[in-house]
This record gives sequence, C-alpha cells and structure tokens, in this order.
Amino acid sequence: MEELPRPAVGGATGHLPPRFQTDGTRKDTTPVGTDQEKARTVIGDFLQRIDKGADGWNDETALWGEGIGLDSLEAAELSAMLEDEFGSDPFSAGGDLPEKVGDVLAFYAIVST
Amino acid sequence: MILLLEAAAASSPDREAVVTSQGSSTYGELLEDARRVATALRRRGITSFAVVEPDAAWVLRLLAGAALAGAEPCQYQPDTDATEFADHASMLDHKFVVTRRDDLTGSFELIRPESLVAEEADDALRAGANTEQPQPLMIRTTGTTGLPKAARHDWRILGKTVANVRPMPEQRWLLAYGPQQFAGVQVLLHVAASQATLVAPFPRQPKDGLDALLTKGVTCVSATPTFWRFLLAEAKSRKATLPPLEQITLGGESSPGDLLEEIQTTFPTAKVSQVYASTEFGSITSVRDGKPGLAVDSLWSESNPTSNVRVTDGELCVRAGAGMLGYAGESPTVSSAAGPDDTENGEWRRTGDLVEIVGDRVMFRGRQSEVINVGGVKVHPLPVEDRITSLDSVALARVFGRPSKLTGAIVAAEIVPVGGVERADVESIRTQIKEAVADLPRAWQPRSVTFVDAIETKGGKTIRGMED
Repeated sequence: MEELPRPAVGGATGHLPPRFQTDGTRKDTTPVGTDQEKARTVIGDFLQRIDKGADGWNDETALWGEGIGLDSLEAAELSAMLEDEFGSDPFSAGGDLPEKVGDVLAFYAIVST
Repeated sequence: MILLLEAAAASSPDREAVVTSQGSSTYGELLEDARRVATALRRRGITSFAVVEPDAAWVLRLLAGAALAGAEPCQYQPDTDATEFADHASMLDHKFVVTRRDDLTGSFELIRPESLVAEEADDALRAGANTEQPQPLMIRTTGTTGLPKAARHDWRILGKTVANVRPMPEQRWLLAYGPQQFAGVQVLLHVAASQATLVAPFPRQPKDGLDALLTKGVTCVSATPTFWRFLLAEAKSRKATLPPLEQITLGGESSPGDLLEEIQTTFPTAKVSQVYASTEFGSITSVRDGKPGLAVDSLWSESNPTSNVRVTDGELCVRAGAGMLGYAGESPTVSSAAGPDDTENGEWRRTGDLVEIVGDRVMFRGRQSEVINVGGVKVHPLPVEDRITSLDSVALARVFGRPSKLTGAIVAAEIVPVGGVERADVESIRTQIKEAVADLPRAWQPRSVTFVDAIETKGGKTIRGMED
C-alpha cells in the first residue's frame, strides 16, 4: 500500500478530509482509492501543459517556490482542472493552501476502494 | 409597420409577404388581417397585450393590427419559460396575452390569435392609419447581461430608419432573429419597406436558417456573428453548397475579422454590412467596408458633426437616432437608464461597449459587463475569443470568466472543434490555442479549456462575462 503523504505543515487542516488526524496521518487503513491516482494523472497532465516539473516530481515536491514554482495563475489552472475532474479541489475548499503535491493527493483520499 | 404594410399592399397586393412553416401570406392578405385584428382590439378595448407566438405571419398581423388600433404589443420568445413569463407579465402588468400556449398562467386573460381577428374590419380602419396617433411597441432586451428590460418605442419613429429603403420585391430575407428582438423588428421593417418577402422558419436555429438558404430561395440574411459561425459550421459539416446571397447584415455583436473574411469568401457577390444598434438606442450606424470595427473617420468630430458615435474613456458613446421613448415603468425623461450621460454632453449616452482605437479603426473589445477581473487585471474576452476562433481547427468558441478562489477569476474557454469533439485531437488544439494567445498578457490566457459539442447562446448572441 502506498504511504500516504503528510498534509500541509503548520497545522493546516482546513482542506483535509475527516479520515485524517490533525497531524495529517490517516485514521484508518482503507486502501488508497482510484481518486488519488486520477488526481496524480491530472497533476501530471497539468505540469506537462505548463512545461514544469520536467525534472521529476513526487509527493514531497513543493508546489511553490523552489519546488514546482507555481504562481497564482498556474495554481488557479490546476484548481480548475481538479474541480473539473472531481467537483471540488483543495485550493478552493477553504483553510490553508496545499504545500506539496502530496497535500493535493491527500484531499482525494476519501474514495471508494 | 402599418404604414409600410399599407404602402406595400397598395403597390403589390398579391406579392408574397411572408413564408413560414404554416404557409404564406400576401401583402394584401396581411393588411386585411391587420385591419381585422385592429377592429377586434378596439371592440374589446385592448390597449396593450403580450404576444407569445412562434409564427411570423401571425406576429406581423398582430403587430400591424396593434399599430393601426394604437395598442401596445410586447413580444416574448415563443418558448419562454412559463414561470419566468408570469413574473414578467406581472411586472409589466399585462392584462391580455395572445398565444396558442395553454401553460401560461397569471393575472391575465389568454387570447388565441385566431380569436383576435374580427369577421370584418371596421370601415373607418380601411381609410388608413392615423399618423397623428401613437403607434406604441414594447421591445424587451435580450438580457444577455442581466434581467431583460422593456423599452418603449413608437413605430413612427422606428420607421424613419427605413425611410430611404426603395422597393426590392425580388429580395427574400431570412428572419434569423426573433421578431421580439430589436434586430428582428428592424428586419420586419426593412422587408416591409422594400416590399420584399420574409422567409421565417421556426425554430430559428442556425440549422433551420441553413435549411432555408438551401430550399427557400433566400437572397438576404441579417443575423448575429454567432449565428453566422454556427450556420457556416453546420454547412461545412453537411458539406452543403451554399447559394449566392445578395445582402448579408451582421449585428448584435462585434464581427471578428476572420468571420468577415469567411463570409466574404463564401459569398463573394454579397454586399456585407455591419449594423450598430441596440434596443434602447435604435439603429446608430453601419459599416460596409468589410473590415472589423468602425472607421475612425466615422466618429463624431468638428469636421463630422452629424455622426452619432464617439469614444469617451475607451467606451463607445452614441446619440440615439430612432431610440426608445424610455423603459416601461419609467417616465420618458428617465431614459438615462439606457446608459449614463457622457459627462461632457448630456445628449451622448454611454453604451457599455468597450473600444480601442487601432490605426484607422475603432475595434470592439467587449461589453463592460463582460470584463473578467483576473487578480486585478481586467481582461476583455472578445480579443481572446477572436484569436481562438481564427484557428482552422476551431469551429466555435466562447470565452468567459470562471470563478477562482485563488485569483477571483480565470479566463475560461469552451471550444467546439471542427468535426466535433469525438473526432478532434484536443491536445493538438490546446497547443494551438496556447500558441495563439502566447503574446497576450498572462492573465488573459485561458486557464480552463473545455471541449464541447455546442455552445449555448441567448438571443443569437454568445454569452460571455462571468459564469455563476
């Protein structure tokens, strides 16, 4: 089973689904569902479209700054793509913004198995 | 309308005036029917009424009859939602609704159009219309950018716009607008003034217009650029050979350069004109040089003092030619609702159309209400849309604002690919779009591109602005 990433640092929980503890660890051991894999595909497509992340990225890659280096317009684009796919997205859900790729994936952890 | 009908019927009573899916009527028949409608209206004491009717021949009978009787008709889209209609009927205090629909309910009496035709017309009405008497007409705005309003007009003023039209009886005009729209009323007036034939299919979708072009001998078409894009796309998908046209008029929206080129290439012998008009201001100006936008030379200046168009602070301002008397429920002096005064001169009204002077042209950049605020940057959707629709792989496109928690809004685009979504290489089109907008400021570049089979329109116009 894939190790679930930690959510945003700094006690950010606003966008976390209830399956997670406030420290970001999972409460149960439900297998990771397909939504996370879909979200990973969406992120991959998005990075390809904006010509970023060519050097490789993983769950620990930061979305901002030295990581992928998204600016607000690019983040808004990713937000729209995720919303189109899932109907909701971690950038629009309130609370702190996701900081790492894994934070985005964690948002979609409540899925059917 | 009634005066034009009287003139046409006197000149050529047996000429075909209107062709619809229900049959055809001559000018003589229409005039007689209008007189019988006027008689019925007078006998029943009806001074104003709503019309919810799809058949253009009936619409003409009712409008002309009302003008003769001095009654005020107010048309609605034939398939208007019953609940919405009830709200508007209440707001505008309609006591009578002429329709064949049975599902319209409210504080009004439903009258079937056939029952509003007297057995015989009163002799007094055969003497001709009284030009001293008001000939009111209420026209609702399309409401593409908000709730529709109702503008009060008078046929005698509207008729001035066609005073110089000479008889062209061989012309057959397609009614692509709803006759409830201002542009539709303009077509009715023009056809009657030119004593031509109105070809009025229903529904009035572009595919129906294309059918009429292919089978009904249409020679002239007045429609929105959006209608033309759909019609040409439909013709391409059917591999239809389009007949030559004599006159093409575009209005209601700005006409992109690539569309004008496509129209001129498809109909090389047609005269193409672009009309600038609105429900509130009436018909203001027209362009016949085949280029997008207006010529700078046509703007008001000391050397061109009769022009009704000028630019103030990047917005087009106009002086109403055959404009409305006012909105329903407001006194005529409050017609400032049509747009605030240009502060320098009270007779000029702001239109809400944003423009930019580029060389010798005044280019339209979209409606004030369509501006998308992307993180504080004001984006006009029209120039973005123009770049996308100019791509060979794109049949139709709509650019609008999509709410974003991060930037307030992002620019979004809906794309109808040539040949349909199923057969399209959408990733290739995405790349083409990216390249086409690459030189625009980053906030202007679409961040959400979706591929669809059809684009929703309202009143034949593309809906831009912010999505809910």
